[in-house]
Amino acid sequence: MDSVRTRDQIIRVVIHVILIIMSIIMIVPFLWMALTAFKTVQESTSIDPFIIFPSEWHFENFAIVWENYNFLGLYKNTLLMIFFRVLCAVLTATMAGYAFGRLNFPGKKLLFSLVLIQMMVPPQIFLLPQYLMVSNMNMLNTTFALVFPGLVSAFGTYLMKTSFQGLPRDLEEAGSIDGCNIGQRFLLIMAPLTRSGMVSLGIFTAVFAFKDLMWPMIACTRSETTSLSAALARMQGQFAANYPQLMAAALMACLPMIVLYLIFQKQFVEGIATSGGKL
Amino acid sequence: MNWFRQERDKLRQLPRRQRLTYIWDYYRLWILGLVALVVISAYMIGNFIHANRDNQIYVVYANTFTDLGENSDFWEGYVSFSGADTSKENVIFDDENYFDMSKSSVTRNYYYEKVVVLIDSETMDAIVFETENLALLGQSGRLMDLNDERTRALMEKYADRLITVTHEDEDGTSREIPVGFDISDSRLVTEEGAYSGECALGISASAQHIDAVEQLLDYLLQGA
Repeated sequence: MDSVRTRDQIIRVVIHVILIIMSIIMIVPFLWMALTAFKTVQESTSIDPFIIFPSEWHFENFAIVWENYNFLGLYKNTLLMIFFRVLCAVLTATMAGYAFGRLNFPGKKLLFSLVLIQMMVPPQIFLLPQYLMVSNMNMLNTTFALVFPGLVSAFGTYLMKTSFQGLPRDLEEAGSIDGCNIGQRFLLIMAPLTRSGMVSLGIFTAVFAFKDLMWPMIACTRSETTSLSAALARMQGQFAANYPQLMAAALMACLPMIVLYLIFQKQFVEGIATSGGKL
Repeated sequence: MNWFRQERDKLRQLPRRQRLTYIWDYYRLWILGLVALVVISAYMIGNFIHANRDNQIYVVYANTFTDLGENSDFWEGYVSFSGADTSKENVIFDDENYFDMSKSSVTRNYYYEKVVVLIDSETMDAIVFETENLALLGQSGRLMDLNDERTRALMEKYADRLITVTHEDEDGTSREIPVGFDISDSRLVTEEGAYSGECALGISASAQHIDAVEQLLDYLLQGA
């Protein structure tokens, strides 16, 4: 009996050690970013592995970045982009998801296949057509350009379709008996019941919008209209970089997502669990 | 319309406070949707009203850390040299592009992908690059063959500066194709210090403003 208990304890210790090591591996890049933001350039590029903490804490890196890179404008652009992308994606995906999940109409399978195909091709395929559309509308370097690729979401449509399919048919039938038309059934009965799906989709859309680098870099070349991710990329050249300032900017850029995570922590976890997705 | 009349009559019978509560309870989604629609429409209309103008020229400066963009001395110098009216048309000097054509991983480089989109969408007119990189970009077919009738006069004007690449035809014969102009002695190097070694200018295969590119070349090579 004792030997079984000892074996269990050893296994538990081994599992914990492995988990701790994995956690350290995951958290080290973030810590490196945070600590480098307070170092000098010499300290940040030193090959001495024992220089972990800065010899002096240089807060001026943040001040320099704040002054040189119009962070307020970048925050505004990024938050507007996230807000409108989430709003549009949730709105369109909920309606499309209801249509594909609950209604019967000719060509439904074919149309849904077309939606799925969008998820299977590399996103670069859409760059040129999207750029041409925005360019022909004369809307480059505007917040609309930042939002444009997020107006509709194939993944969102799929996610919402599965949410609607999971609801019992009786609810809709009860609504019909009470005299609800299709719009009322959707808006007043079915859509409110898929709120967890909408929250998951909103969180996914927000994270993907925040991480989107390629599109803002192409569609918004002006510093006053671009997003945080593209502005960060501009700070890092191919041949040289001021790492402390770059990391200070990266740390400041992370703030909206950290705040968002702290506010919606429960929904973040639920969203990942219900959709089986990876952020 | 029956539904509308019924609701109107029902609301008329209620006191003010209950009327507002009723509207909010039963129609808040519609109200929020309508507000969102109005906000988005106003925002879209605002964006359309303040939409961008056409480009006079779009030039990509690759692999430089010098500020050559809007409102830099270099940019202002070109605007005054060319007489471009920036209230009516954009003069875009895009100086934040970093990629190395000699690396096989270049196709996964976001900046390279961006330049490809700019070329294919007929947005970019010219690119300034290190000579070796420019030749490799020319080899990929994304730069204009300067023998083209649209650029022939320009090629003859700067015949002593041509950068050529060797192209092999399907029948196995090889020929030299001019794809750019050597501007190593231009003000970009001598005054701005944007490039330390050799650099060259190539014209995009789908350039729309070749006259402006000629003006840019004249501006770059003033006094060279």
